Amino acid sequence: MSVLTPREDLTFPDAAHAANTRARAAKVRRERLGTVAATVVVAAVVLGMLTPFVWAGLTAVKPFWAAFTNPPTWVFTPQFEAFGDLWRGTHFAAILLNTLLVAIAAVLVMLVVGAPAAYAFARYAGIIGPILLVLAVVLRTVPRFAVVLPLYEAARAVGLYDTNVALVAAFVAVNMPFTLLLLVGFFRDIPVELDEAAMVDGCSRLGAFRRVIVPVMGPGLVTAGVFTFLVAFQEYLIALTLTQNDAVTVPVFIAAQRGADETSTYQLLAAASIALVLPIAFIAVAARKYLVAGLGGGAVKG
Amino acid sequence: MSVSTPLPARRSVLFGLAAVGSLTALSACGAGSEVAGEATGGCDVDAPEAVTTVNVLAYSSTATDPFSRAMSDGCSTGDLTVNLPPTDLAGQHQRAVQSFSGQTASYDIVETYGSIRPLYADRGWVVQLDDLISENSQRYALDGIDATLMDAVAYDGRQYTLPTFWGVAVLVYRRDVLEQVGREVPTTFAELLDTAVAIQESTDIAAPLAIPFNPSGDIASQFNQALHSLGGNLFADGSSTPTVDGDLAVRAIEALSSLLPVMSDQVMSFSSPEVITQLQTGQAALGLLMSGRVADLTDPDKSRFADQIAFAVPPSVEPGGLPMTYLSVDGFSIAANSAVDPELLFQLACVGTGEGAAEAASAATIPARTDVADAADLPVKDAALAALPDAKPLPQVPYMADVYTALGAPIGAAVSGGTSAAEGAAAAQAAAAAAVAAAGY
Amino acid sequence: MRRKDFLTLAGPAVLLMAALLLVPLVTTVVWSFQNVPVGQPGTFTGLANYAELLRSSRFLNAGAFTVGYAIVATVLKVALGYALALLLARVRRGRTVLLGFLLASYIVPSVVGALDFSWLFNDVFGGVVNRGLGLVGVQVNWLVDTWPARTLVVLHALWHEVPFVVLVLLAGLQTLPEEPMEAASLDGANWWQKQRYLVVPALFPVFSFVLLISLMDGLKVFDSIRIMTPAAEQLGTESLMTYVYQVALGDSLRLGMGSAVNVLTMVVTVLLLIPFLRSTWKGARAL
Repeated sequence: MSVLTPREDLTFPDAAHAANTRARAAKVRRERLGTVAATVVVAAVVLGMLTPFVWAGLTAVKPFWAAFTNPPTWVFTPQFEAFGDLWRGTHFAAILLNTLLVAIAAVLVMLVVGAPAAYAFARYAGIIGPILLVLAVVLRTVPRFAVVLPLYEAARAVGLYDTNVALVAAFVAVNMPFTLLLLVGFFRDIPVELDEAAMVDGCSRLGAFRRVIVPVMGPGLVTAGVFTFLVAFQEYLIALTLTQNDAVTVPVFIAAQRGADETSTYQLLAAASIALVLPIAFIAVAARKYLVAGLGGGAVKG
Repeated sequence: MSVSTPLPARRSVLFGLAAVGSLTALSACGAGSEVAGEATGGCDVDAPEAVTTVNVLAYSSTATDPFSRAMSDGCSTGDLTVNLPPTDLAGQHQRAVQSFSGQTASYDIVETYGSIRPLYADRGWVVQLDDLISENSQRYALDGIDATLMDAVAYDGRQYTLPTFWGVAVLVYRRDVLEQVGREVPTTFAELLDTAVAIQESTDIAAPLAIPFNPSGDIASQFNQALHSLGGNLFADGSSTPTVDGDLAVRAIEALSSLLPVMSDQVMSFSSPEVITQLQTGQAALGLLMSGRVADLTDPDKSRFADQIAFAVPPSVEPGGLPMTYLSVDGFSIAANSAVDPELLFQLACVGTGEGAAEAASAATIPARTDVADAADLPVKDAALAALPDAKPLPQVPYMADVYTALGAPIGAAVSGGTSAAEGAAAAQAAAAAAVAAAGY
Repeated sequence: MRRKDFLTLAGPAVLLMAALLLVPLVTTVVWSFQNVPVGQPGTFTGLANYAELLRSSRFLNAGAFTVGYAIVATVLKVALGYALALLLARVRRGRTVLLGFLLASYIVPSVVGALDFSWLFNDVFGGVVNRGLGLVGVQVNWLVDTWPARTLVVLHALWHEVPFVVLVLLAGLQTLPEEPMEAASLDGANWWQKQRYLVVPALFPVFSFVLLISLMDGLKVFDSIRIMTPAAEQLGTESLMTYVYQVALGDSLRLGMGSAVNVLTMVVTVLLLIPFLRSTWKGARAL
């Protein structure tokens, strides 16, 4: 029974009480209005942010002669050749699958390697902890160009050139500082008593971590996982350097479609961007419970 | 207290599996099914004794693909596999440098073009081909490759590249628009300007002329072409001293600036894609483009004006001068640090530049094999062949790429009016000299 | 925690970073004092690279633009991202759907995202932005004039990275306990006061993280500039990374010079990040 449900047994000697009820009702109405307004504004902003993709989508389905006219052509018969060319005429699907594989592997490795490390940084009292953490931040300032040539040499030397393994290792290493910073905050939130209780019960430090801490850390791990997942889809320079035939990822493939200073592949490019956006938006919508659990729980707290 | 909700494990795992499963199923249904091209002209190479993989580095484009695919699709049989990973132009150079500078090559056959070819040759990164050419000339009919082009790609008197295709700058124009304003095809800049002004006045095309003027590289090319048209050169003969100041250079810059009033406001951001689009959509009626990029202009699916597009030799800056054009030749070179037998690589390159490949390419670009080019049904062919005798390639010197990049900003500033032509020429001279010095020459 | 446990748990991560990040860092620093033609060992030249750089107006301009851009883009990103996160926190139904679509611009790799974005501003390709501006009588040459081009680069940064800020700040907002907010309301605090005295201070570590990452990424800007404004040098949108690309990996392949630029970029980054590094240090020490 909410505050708005009228009660018949009230005899209303208390005018102030009635006024209070009305004030609270008004407040709830204002809040509802506020929520609606917020939704409208956010939806408008999101629509604005999607404009480039809407435009790319339109460009991809217009007949080529109408795709780049100035002023733009608004009346046309859609055609889906660009998507057909993308799917059948290139190895896009295989490369997308490969990128997914690399992304998932990177998430797993990152969590297995990075989460215990962040936990250790959060709990260890020695001076080496802060030193390493600050060093990690400094390492994140190293420009990609400084990293790619040594990575190439190393991968060739070890025989891992053009393999997914090398890509995963590179992506994990390059994003480790970010993940550490993110997760250390989450771990600090968890009270030390939890660890101690587990260890009193006979767990080693690692056991305490695995059995007690990790389940509580769900939200933080999801956030870190999401960011690591995205890296595989965005990272161009490292993928360009470390891949050739077998381990090609989406950004390298898309860049390759630009060809040389001509427009014949522009619709293909537009189709590729839609082909990337739609599935991810779909996954985000369909997996919202997963995301809510991840984002609702933890925080990056110092 | 930060409470966490336990992860909805089973449902999301199932969902994830479904997503991946459907993606795999979708890819099974036709994904990549039309990728492999047809093997054209067969593949006449000596089969290797052991399992051999050859990697070809070539950017993808309608012009390069037929040649590259003749090797990758046409020759991958038995013990021999030829790979052609997807690459773009910038990525090609980066990967080439990485591959060449390592102990072992990641790429065995590399596509090369005018400004970087001498760089690779000078550093000893690519194999000298003279002996291989004379040994294999008969088998692969190498004399079918135009001798002018072989000369154009030579470095220091030696061959390092087998040419695949060539291109020159051509004038593109709309027949119907020229008819409408009653003008002939312009042969000088003065005529070009006059025709464009007439178009501006009599039609609703506000910016009838389109030329790639982007300071990131195109403007340097236009400057070089204009300089040539006036009889000048980027470098003093046989030396590394740039000659981009002085009277001819100033006149070249002024000539380019004089065209601004009949071009779009945005012309300083134009590269070939913008010029192509302007011509395809009827925003422009006159343009200067490399012949290797004009194939789409005559494709009725790509433009409503396709049947009115025609080509001609570019105008000269001043009456009696050379046409404003230059020669660009692409080809294949062999990596010096490759572990594969250079003999096999050369044979593959011969297939890549062979008659079959040339025929497949002649719908999109002008192959280096003269007889195939002559027989080709390419609308731009006549104009290109007419311009060829007067077209010179970029100076084949190892610091050409550096100088080319260095010229962009000062020339761009001068042409757009930011600085005077004389200042621009002087700045260009300084930048070019600095680039040569910085490159170590 | 005992030292042994710390080493076991943190060891693999530290080793990975050391191998794949620290080694290149050291190599870069060493090369910056040498002249390194690609493929050959370098010859020591002392401070020659740095002297040449600090005398080069092109480098100094690129540096100035990069720092200015990073600061402006970061401030705008965080301000807009925070506003959006606050709004999104108010949304009840469809919050994750909206968030999912919002992330689209963050997810798509910039090699294609920047191209799509620039098409909107390119008149030749039928760009709608100038059509819209034309309705109010304004014409901006986004790709040809310096300050419009710089604005374009900043706009792209906002488009691409505000979703990241929103994601992280939203997560932070959702963990704020309700009681202090309600208590403040009862005390008569208005929205602005609640933000200033309650929310922002409580979220200080989150803001710190977001500002740190945004600044760092801003200083490394490369892809978008190369795709949208390739004539960066002449336009005035040249950043330190596009400069390095041309010098070290472009034509002359001067790895020594390129390394010197990389080192200077790192120095500038660390200098700008000193307040954040201090708070990271203090936070880590407070155990």
